[in-house]
Amino acid sequence: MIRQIFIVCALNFKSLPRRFWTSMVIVVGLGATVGVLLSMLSLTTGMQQAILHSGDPGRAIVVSAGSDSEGQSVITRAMAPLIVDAPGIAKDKDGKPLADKAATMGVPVLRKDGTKGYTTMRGLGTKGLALRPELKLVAGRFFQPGRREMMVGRGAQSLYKGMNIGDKVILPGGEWPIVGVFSTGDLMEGQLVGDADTLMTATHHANYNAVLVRLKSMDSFDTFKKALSTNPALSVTAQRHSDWYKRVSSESTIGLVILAYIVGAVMAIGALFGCLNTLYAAVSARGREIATLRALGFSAFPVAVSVIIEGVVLAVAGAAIGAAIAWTLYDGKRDAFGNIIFFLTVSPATVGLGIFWAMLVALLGGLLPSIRAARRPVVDALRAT
Amino acid sequence: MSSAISLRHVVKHYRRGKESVEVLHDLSLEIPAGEFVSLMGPSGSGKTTILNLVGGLDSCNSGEVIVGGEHLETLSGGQLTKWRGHNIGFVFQFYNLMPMLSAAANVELPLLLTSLSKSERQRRVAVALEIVGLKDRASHKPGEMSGGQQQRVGIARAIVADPAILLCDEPTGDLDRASADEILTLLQQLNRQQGKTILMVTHDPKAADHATRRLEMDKGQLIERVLVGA
Amino acid sequence: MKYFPLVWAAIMRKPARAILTLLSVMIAFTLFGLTIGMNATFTTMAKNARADRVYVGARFGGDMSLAMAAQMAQIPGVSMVAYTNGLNGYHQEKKNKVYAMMADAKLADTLTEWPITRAQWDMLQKNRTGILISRQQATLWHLKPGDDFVIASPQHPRGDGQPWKLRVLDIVGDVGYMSGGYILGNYDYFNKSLPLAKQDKVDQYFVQAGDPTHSADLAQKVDDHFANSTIPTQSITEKAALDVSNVGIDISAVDRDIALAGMFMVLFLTANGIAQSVRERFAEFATLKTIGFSDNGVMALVFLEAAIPCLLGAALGVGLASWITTVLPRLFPPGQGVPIPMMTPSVYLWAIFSASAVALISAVLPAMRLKRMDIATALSGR
Repeated sequence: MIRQIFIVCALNFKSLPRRFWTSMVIVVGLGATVGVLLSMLSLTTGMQQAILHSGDPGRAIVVSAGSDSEGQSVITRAMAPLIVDAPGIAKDKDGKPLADKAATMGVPVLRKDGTKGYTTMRGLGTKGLALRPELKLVAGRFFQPGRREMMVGRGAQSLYKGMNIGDKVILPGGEWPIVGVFSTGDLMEGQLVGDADTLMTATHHANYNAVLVRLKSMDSFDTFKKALSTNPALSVTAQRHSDWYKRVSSESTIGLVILAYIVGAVMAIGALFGCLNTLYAAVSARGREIATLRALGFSAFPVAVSVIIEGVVLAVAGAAIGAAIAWTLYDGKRDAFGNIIFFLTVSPATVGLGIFWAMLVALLGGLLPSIRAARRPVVDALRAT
Repeated sequence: MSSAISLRHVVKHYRRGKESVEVLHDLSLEIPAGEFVSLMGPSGSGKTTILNLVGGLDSCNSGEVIVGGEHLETLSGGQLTKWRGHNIGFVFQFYNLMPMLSAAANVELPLLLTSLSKSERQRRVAVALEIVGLKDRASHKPGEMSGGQQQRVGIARAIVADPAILLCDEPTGDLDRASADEILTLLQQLNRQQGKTILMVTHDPKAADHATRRLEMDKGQLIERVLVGA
Repeated sequence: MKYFPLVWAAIMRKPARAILTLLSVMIAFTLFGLTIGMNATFTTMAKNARADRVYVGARFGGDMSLAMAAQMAQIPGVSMVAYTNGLNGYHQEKKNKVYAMMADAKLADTLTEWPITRAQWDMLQKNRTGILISRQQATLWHLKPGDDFVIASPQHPRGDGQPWKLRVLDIVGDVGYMSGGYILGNYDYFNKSLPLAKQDKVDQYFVQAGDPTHSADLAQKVDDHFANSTIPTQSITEKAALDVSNVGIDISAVDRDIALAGMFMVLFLTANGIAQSVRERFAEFATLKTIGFSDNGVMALVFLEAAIPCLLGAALGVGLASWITTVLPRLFPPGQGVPIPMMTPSVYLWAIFSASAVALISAVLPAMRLKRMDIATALSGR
């Protein structure tokens, strides 16, 4: 049986050049579908990767109960010590807990292409830098606590105007000069950092936004979380930093992801009809060839399979071309959504998805024509002109 | 009787790759109106070429082709097309009907080019179908008819615009004896009762019997076959 | 017209092919309708944007104070100042996010183009715990007038610790740029019920410019006024706010590209179908020419054979897109909606234009072949 399938398929592909343009309908249809799908997903994949890359599961973030973002959260000066003294937090070389009280605020910026954007200004506390070993100085110097000055991340510098050392950024209470550039290898590279207390004074905010801690060990999270939730004086939520970012990631991207799949599905349906059309025509064109094989003793199943395989091969070829085009046009391009700077990504996973999508369409599109190929009476097909 | 069809010193050659094959050398032919002429000859002798020239489907390299008083060699492509619609009816060996249209719709095709009203067109279609004896088959598709019936539809289509001349290319070539005879009788009827000039190319000697004049093509030359014992 | 049966017979010669082509064209135009329709929404929104409105927000996030209203009203060029504070919370479950704009009375005088009657605005003043809810939100939460809507809000808790129980006063029409719908409440009631520390805050000011031609300047003036204060502002005119190309990802370009991809797919399919059909029927076309159909007549037949499925598919597709826009909001989680595409006349015109272009391009090559056809050879080919 397998041998028969091979022979029939080989014969089929030999006759394919005669059906070149009709076959191209499948290639173009799936190429367009997968190309569009992957282009849209390059946005969401890029965003998700940038966000997920940023969460360290060995850190935990504490925000006020019910807050979805650090900006919404309020940790008062009274609450802060209670959090910092909770069990489960790692200690630094001085024996003090590695916990940082942070303040954040949004800062409007102008992108290099002229469009409006915004990013986050992050006020770090005394332990802020110790908590973030991934933060490295790339140029200039660190900001000094108590001074109205800031550092910009590498990503922010490349995407926004006015982010070079010496430039000044308008903040409440005046302009803050940029004194250094840092890299972290994650989302924070799109942001600005300065001293939390100075920031809070300048903005007349009495309260912090969040507390970030380094856990003693991966397992101490539960202890930490329990201590906070059972404290009647606190109404806060603790999450691993990685989980926090997972939620942020899905919330930011869910709308676009749904849209991408809707568009992809609609185009796939359009491609499906094109597929059906082409494969019906192929069966028709191969009528005599199929009938001869049947008369010679080949059974119906290999014939049917050959139709589906033809569809799948063409569809996958189209998907590959579409993926290649999407990759060439978009992969690696820098973009920003809100304060999230990311790279558009056509990842191997999404390419795999695109190919799978195409195979599904081809299987569905090949089913009916393959049945027709198998069922057509041999005598009729031999007689047909 | 004036000539309905006149070919004078017609030369026609075809290009086959780099070669030029001369099919008609200095051919002259006069066919008076009202004649039923059969034209026989081996394949490639040029009989279909003569038909195409008379029908304005092809043009000669030199000479004159005068049909119904019109010098076809002076008309442009567009003018030939229009002229053809009014003056010529074609009957083909393989009928050339539109498979998805009913008999009536097939017959109506030439009338679509006129400015006749729908009811007038339908009246003429009915008349044509009546003449060929297919009135009760008007709504049937070609696929539902025998070869002889399809050819009758073809003839109905050829006469519906009432052209003066019918050009038939092997009209009985694909039919069995009985159907062939029916078709030939019909053509004869159209010639005798309606005065249509008919030029018929055929392989069939029996078909030639129905004509009023028999011609043969042999190596590009026309030979008249006189009736023996008419 | 009288040639229709001939064209129809040609199309229906292979019914399966005709139907599949039609369906494919229809699907492509559904996508076309949704994407170009969304662009039409953006264009309409931008066109209908009020030239005299300036939105003022806090430059660095967070809330502004009520005290700023009096100062803003003093700025030369400002004819009216209205404000809202937002109630951010959820209904029953944390994932059911709700956002209500608790509005001051003057909002009725500035949002005059919104589909809310004077009587409805007055309801908010007469029933302080009441809310007006737009149709999309009403459908989402299954609310009708008279129902109570309970919102829990950790971010804006009531002073007494209870959740917010608001009564639905009436259902009002949706507004294009408020995707997902909106809810309006009474600012005064909201403000007085908050804990003291959270009172007298504003999250959005609506400033009306006396002179619409200088609203951009006015926006700058407001920002300059508050630049060195404790709460610097970021002001933007409504026209600028609704200009989609100014936001990070240019959605209108994305829409256009998707529509083009769909059209390309359809073009290929249709061109192929027509080419095949003409090839199969060469002798038929030759016969038509012998009967007397002119070259142009035959080419017109081919074009019509391509145009009818394209135009029909376009009409059906855009119609389907229109239906989809009614269910579109349901596909997205609350608070994550997309602007609803509108099938404006311009969308239909673009669809007709595209369908005709596809038909024309598809028919060109086969029609040229027919024009150049040698009738004699075509007929003898049998």
